[in-house]
Amino acid sequence: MDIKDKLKLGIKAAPHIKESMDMQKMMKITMLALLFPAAGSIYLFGMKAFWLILTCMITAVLSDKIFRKLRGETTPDKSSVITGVITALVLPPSFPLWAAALGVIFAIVIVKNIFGGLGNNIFNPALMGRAFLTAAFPVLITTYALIPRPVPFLNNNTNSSIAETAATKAVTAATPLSKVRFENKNYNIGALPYFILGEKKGSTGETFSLMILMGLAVLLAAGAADWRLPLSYFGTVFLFFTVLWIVDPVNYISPVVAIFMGGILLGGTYMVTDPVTTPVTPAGKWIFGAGAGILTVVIRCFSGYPEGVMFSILLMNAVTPLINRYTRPRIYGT
Amino acid sequence: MKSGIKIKAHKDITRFEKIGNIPVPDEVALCTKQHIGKPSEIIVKRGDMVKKGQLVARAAKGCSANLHSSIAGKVKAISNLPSISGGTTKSIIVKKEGSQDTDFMEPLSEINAAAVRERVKEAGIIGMGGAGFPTHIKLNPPGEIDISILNGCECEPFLTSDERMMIENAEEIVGGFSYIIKATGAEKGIIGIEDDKPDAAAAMKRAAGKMAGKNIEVVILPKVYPQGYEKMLITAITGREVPSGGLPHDVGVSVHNVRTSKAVFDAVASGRPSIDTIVTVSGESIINKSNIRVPIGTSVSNLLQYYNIQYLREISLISGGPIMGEGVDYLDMPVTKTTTGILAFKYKVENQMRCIRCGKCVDGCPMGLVPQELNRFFSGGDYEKMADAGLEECMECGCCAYICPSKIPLVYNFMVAKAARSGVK
Repeated sequence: MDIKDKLKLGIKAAPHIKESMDMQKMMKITMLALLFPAAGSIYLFGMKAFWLILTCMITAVLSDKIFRKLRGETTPDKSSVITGVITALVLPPSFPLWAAALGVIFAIVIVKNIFGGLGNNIFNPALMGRAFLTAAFPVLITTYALIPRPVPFLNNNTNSSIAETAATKAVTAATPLSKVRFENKNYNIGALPYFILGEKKGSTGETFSLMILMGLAVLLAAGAADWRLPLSYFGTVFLFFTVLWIVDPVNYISPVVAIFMGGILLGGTYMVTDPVTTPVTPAGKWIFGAGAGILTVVIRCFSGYPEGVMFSILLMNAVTPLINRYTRPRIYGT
Repeated sequence: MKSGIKIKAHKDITRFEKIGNIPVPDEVALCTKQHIGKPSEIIVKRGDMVKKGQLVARAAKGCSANLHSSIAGKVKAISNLPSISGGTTKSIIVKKEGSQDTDFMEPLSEINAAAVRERVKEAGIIGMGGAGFPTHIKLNPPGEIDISILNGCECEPFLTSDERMMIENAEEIVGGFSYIIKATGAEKGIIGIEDDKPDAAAAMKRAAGKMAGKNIEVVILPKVYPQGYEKMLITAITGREVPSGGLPHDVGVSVHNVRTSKAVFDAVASGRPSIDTIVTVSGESIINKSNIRVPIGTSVSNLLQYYNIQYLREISLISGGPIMGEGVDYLDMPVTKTTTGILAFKYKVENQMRCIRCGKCVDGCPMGLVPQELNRFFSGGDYEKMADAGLEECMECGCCAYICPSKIPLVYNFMVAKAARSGVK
């Protein structure tokens, strides 16, 4: 038989082969990476955390579906699940579910879809959702009523820096960060195991640092996140804290401990690496991470807020178009 | 090269086997515009008997090239046939007849710059790496040349025809290069080879060593796509950067492909015109992949009958490499002097997603462009804004579209915009 009768040709534009990594894969890997802190939070805070994550996830998917249907949009977009989970992880575990749902709807409808949907939003939806809730419910968002499950093999009473937490944590809502800010508390290196293994108050997803590190490892190893962003962020934060600590070790926390406090790890792993809201240029990526790092430490140490991760990333999101414009690579031959 | 992309090479399947041959085809279609420039002027007519290597179309005035018959036989027809770059071109169809007598030129007795250039012109040699620029014009640059570069990078995945030639014909290639150096007046010659071809590099080094006094050096370059691009190669080897809108001779460099060099050697040393080429037949749908010597004008369907093809009902056929090559939608398409490979892949429809501004295209672009931004302007139909952002600097290497996780046909969109702009002018 003649070959011409057997062959059917399909024609495409070059390139004819492509990198196997695609957007759906990237999202699946991100979901997988999010499983670690999500599971960690459920271990630490029990069913409260579970319901919070589930509520945020379902609200995100539904509000996204409904809004996009009303708009008549057809392009597939499964990023809402990720937005939902991340929003849950940045809220206190005791946060009321109805209020969390409200924040998620704000994130999906206003922050993402009104700005043009996936790929066009300027701000990280989950963080903007939290910022909205911070403004709407300032008390609820700073109430950390749930106590994380104690780490079994660490004896709380022998560690001087944490012992006091163990005694008072039942009655106070203060997180280690607010103690640093408002009670001039300093944590020494002995507190580190507690912070890494999640025995500290804080947002649902930010307490169990070890889980976040595992999530980060998954993201980087699978190539779903650009390593320059977390590296420049963590690097800058660490350097800045080191300088402060060297200058004044009494009033500033050791950088090794400080980096495990609050939302630095969570923000640096899942929000600083959000491709949509960070620069596209190589130099821009470094600037973004460094900028967010500097702002985080400045807000933490020199402002009225105990935590600066959310605002620092949102501020850098806002200047990302500007960064892109001024960090274009040099064109060859010019 | 600071940017570019890493691509799995897929070369091992064909790089270790000797170049094969196919039987003389029953018919060849000699396209009169295989090169950049004006079509060659046909000097035979229907019914004429031609020998293998006989001139059948003469270079037109200006930028053009000679064309010779690749088989001996009878001119069956002169007709317009579809060509790979779209549209139709006048082609000479020769039907095999009688014994395969050759009609080659005499070997060149005296080697000097003018004689080499003249011989290259007579032999109809064009840039065989893909560009197809008539070589005799390139050998006579308007500016001073101090370095001649021989391109043995073959950075496209799957293709190994250059590599096999360097292994099997190293001395001819280096010999041809010495003629090229002479013709361009360069002081030295540098052969650039990517580090994934150790056998080829060793063979070329040996051959260059035998040409003592000719000042030819082999340089090993890291394997990265698109290292084999003229501008990238020049910068990697000399550190010089071809200015925007300029040509290699603006920085005193002249670049030629190893297969062109082999053709130059054949023309000078044995009087053989450019009538065949080595083609890599590969890709996931080809079972018995190999490199094969093919007379110019052999149809793709004729060539493919010697291969087992998978996914018969739905393949995409490519002329050239998988990144830059052009889709073939016409099985009678003839092999030309610039065909480096015929690849077959299972046809897949890709779902284009929205841009998530990951910036991988920016990392990948060897020209330092921001494809993501260019594409945003493209979506808005603002071609002039694209031009301001450097659209015309795009050399269409395809790194951006290869790496894009949203499968956006970036480079294709840029070609569309360029075509639209040149139409406006």
